Amino acid sequence: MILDTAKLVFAGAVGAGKTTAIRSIADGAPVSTDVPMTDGAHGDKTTTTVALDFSEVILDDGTPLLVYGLPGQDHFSFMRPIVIKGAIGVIVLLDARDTEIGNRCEHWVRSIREIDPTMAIGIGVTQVDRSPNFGLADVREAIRRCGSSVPVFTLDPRDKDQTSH
Amino acid sequence: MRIDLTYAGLTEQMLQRLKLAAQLLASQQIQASVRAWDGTHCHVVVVLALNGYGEYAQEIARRRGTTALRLSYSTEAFDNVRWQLAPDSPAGVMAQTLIKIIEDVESNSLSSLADMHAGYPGSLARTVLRKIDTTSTPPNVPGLLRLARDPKLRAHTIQASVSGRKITLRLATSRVFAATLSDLQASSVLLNSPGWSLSPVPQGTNSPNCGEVSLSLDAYCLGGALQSPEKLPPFPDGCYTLKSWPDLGSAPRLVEALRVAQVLLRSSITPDELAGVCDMNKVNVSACLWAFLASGLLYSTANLSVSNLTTVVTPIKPFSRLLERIASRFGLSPRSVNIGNGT
Repeated sequence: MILDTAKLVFAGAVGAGKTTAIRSIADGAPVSTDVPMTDGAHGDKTTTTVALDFSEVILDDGTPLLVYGLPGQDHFSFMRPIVIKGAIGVIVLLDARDTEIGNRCEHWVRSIREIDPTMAIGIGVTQVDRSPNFGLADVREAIRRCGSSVPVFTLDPRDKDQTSH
Repeated sequence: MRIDLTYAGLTEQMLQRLKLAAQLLASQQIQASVRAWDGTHCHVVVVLALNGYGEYAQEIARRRGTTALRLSYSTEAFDNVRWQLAPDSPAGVMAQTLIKIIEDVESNSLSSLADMHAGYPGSLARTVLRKIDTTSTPPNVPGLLRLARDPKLRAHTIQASVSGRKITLRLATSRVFAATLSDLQASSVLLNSPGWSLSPVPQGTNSPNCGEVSLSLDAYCLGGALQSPEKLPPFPDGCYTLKSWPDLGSAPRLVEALRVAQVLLRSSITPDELAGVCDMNKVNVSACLWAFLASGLLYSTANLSVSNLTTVVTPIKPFSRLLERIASRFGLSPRSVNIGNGT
């Protein structure tokens, strides 16, 4: 089955690097809806996505791969089924500095499974270099609690090779 | 004989029964101390499977080769757990099980409880190396094999050096640290060579300054193993599987290893069959297995459970050709494209 377009979605918590990841793999500058954070900067992060990010990658045969980034805040959760519907997969980005990373991972995997139980999911953990004691055990355990074996990788979303991997 | 029991995720009632069981061990001349699990070395950790903290402790214990006694109502095998009891087991039953754990270790000719690592991958590592070569002295053994074979190393942070390159391995968090990226890369290239110095950092001492640069242990081991796979011995025959995806995010070029991992996650399989299914040469498959063992991801399974291996790699979604094109667009092999959940 050949599709005219394909859709890939980046999801995850605020500050995990969704917008950065999309920028690193996109063919051109993404359309972003970033605004200054109303509750002050989170470290280096001074803006946040309030609607969605969108960009495009043209595959070798001309098929456009539409890349969407969901806003991380839960009050935008109503957008998730709209954006995720029809996607070939969802990449969930998590911040290694998050002390609740296991629960966060479980939350996202379950949320996506509720929308589409067969959706392919990959987990990317970012900011590992800023969290020297981080280990993947919490995330892997959370995935087991969800009853699946979703691939989990640590990555630098600024690196195109790592993000596209 | 003294043993150090820890617990994680237990209720008050369970803890009371465990303490009572520990006292009952005195009848066998076993002095058991009981304390809350804090991530440090112990002989046996008792975990409640229904509790996230207990599961976490069990996962850490598994990676370190520490024996875990799992309290669970589940009747199905889980993660090769050898020792399991119902959470409401009385103290007497708990004591009997603890004695069996100790007897099991003794029957395996392990002379002291400090060597008590009945769970995978520790015992797997020992078994595998017994099949390979029991006479090699450590300095003549490639660094990767030393990591793979010695379960004691899993309980420690390890300061390692080779050819003047110094790194720190934190096996509990599966990260490798170095002062420079150059040290990481150069040492990884030498992982299949002898001449490694591996020094566990004693328990209770402050962790050394590890350095600013880090990499996932899985990527480090695989990257090194595949640099010169011909230097490694063939992986012993047997059936193997993975329970978790290796962390290869920082190693985007290791596409073959991803393919091996994908098959191992879905099946219990021998090295020869794995090479056939993945369409890879046996030397590279063997290197991947050594790396998975060294990073604490590989499990041995008793029975071959794969009935039709070709189904493992058969595309299951209509997106598969599209995924091939996406993989091609990003420079990945078409056969490595399935990012699905493996279910």
